[in-house]
Amino acid sequence: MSQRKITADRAGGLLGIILGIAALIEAVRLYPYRSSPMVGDHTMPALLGVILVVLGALLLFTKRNGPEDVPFPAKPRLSVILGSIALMFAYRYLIPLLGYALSTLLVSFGLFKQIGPYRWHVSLVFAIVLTASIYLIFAVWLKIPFPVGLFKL
Amino acid sequence: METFELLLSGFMQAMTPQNLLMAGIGALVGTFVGVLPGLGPTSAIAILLPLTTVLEPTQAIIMMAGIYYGAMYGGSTTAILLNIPGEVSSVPTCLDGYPLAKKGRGGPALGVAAIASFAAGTLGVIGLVFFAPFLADQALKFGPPEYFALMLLALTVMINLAGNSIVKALIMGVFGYLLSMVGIGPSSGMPRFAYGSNDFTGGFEMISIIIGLFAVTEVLKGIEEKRTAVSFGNIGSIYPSMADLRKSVKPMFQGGLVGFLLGLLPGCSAAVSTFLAYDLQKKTSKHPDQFGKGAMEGVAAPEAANNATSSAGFIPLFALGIPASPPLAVLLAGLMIYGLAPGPVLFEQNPKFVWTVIASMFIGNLMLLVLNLPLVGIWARLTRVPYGILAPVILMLSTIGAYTVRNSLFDVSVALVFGVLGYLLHKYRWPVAPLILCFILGPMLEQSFIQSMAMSAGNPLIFFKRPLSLSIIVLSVALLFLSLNLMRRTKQRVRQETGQQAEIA
Repeated sequence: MSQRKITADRAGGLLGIILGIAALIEAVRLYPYRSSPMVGDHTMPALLGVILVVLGALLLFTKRNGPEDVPFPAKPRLSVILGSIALMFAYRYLIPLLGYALSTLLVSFGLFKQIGPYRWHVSLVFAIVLTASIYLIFAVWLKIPFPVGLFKL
Repeated sequence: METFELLLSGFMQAMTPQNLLMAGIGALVGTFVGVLPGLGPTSAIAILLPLTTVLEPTQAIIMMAGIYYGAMYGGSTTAILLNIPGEVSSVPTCLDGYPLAKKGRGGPALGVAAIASFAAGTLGVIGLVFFAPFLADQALKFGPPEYFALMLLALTVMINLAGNSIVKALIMGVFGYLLSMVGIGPSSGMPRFAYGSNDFTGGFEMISIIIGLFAVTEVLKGIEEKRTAVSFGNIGSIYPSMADLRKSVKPMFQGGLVGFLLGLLPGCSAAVSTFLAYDLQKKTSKHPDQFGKGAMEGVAAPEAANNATSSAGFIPLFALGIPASPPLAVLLAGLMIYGLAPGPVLFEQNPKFVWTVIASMFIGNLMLLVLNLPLVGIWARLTRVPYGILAPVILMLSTIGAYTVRNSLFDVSVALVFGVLGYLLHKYRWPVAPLILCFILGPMLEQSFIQSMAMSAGNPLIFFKRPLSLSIIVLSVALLFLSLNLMRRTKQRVRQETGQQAEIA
């Protein structure tokens, strides 16, 4: 079990090194646009790139004591979490397609049904109230322009 | 003398009906979200930040400061009634607050907590009136090297937000700096870390990242824990007896003083001051054996310390531009959205704004007391709202909140990606607070560093040659050791009390 945690930390260290190298590459790309060797948009990426590589290496190669298990929830809970994440990402792509009203109603209904979990008609009532409330606050009061989508809703 | 004139004019401004309304709404909304499971002060301010864009900067900041105070107080309600400390800083309040609630004296405990918060918050604001202009006066002598040294001082904050590993905290901090650099380079005007994407060229919006890492992540954690509504017994009268108040006077002032002095140190977490205040109170008490069994002093001291630290945190924030905690970092982000640069020049350039906000803090503290005491019963009932309703509401508000800042769907994607990332980081115990802090301070750090290099023809010794910048660097190192020491002690205490390893942030 503890092996998993060590691996996770080491993976983090490796990711740090990769990010550090990406920063160094960007610094090299920006170097020709400098004002002087130490003044330009390359300076901080270079400095931070080096620091990130060093810190990543420290995490990757240092022996760590007493790691703890990283428990993930059991399958039913995990599927609620993953389902909610999927719904939220779907929402981001549904808004421009279906418009604010319809997409918010659909996704909030799905969330109440899934997380609640409430019966479908209860979820529908909650979803209608939530959609209307958010619309009143953001669209009517704050005058935020929301996408109207294909159905002009 | 000038300070008092400015404060007086601040009061005149703060007492306008609209500003009073904002302070009141802020205190109420803050307490509301503080009581609800699933939204802490940081995510509450982040989600509500877009809502405040219709307000003037002063009103918006007054409201957000109210939310901050209110949320801190809301956390005490759940600590006392349900033994659920929303933040590590509320753990000491649980120790005596919950036993009191079990004896049917939850009401007086909440009352004492409210009065202690008010007394200490006011003490903190009085300190702010005296200390902040002094710091700001000194800071007028600042040039780019001093500003850079100041940013280094802010980095000591990261040690306090480090969680269980300093290396991980530093990696997260550097990652935050890198994220802040995505967009157009300030010197050359060339896209940086954009990789040909128009969205990346526009840079990341800090509110989206904050909403993702705090609000969305918190909901995912809540779903995992399958949070449920909790009920509790009778809380009794909310007004403490004279005996309760007499017992609480000394702890309030002692705790308030400890909290205020520690809150002055940039980056001192409220958890450090609440534990210190509780321990100090226990040591100096005539009845130390009563502590942990329902001593009113055990509620008053940490609550006073908590609120005093929160108020004192505004001093390094306003005077130096250094946020001491994640909620203050979001407030800093809010100030920046309104084009206000916190730091030494804020007092010079926008005295009206600063003094109105300071004056409104006095009023906000009074409102918290006036509103919270009679409303304690309602707040307590709010803890019964089912998580199945709260979670979808928070998720939808977070998404819309992220969208409204720039009317951008890219920002929604960023909030969701960082929400998932935040959940994984939480699972693998990578602290997110350093990422946010460094993301916010990143542009200032880069600007001051590049200007210093330009001034010195690329010689980094410039930071050590100027007395003021050298002094700040020395202070940073001293604070670093002090922070490490205090954090080690606090973690030991949290482990003693809760049996768990603490992630103090």
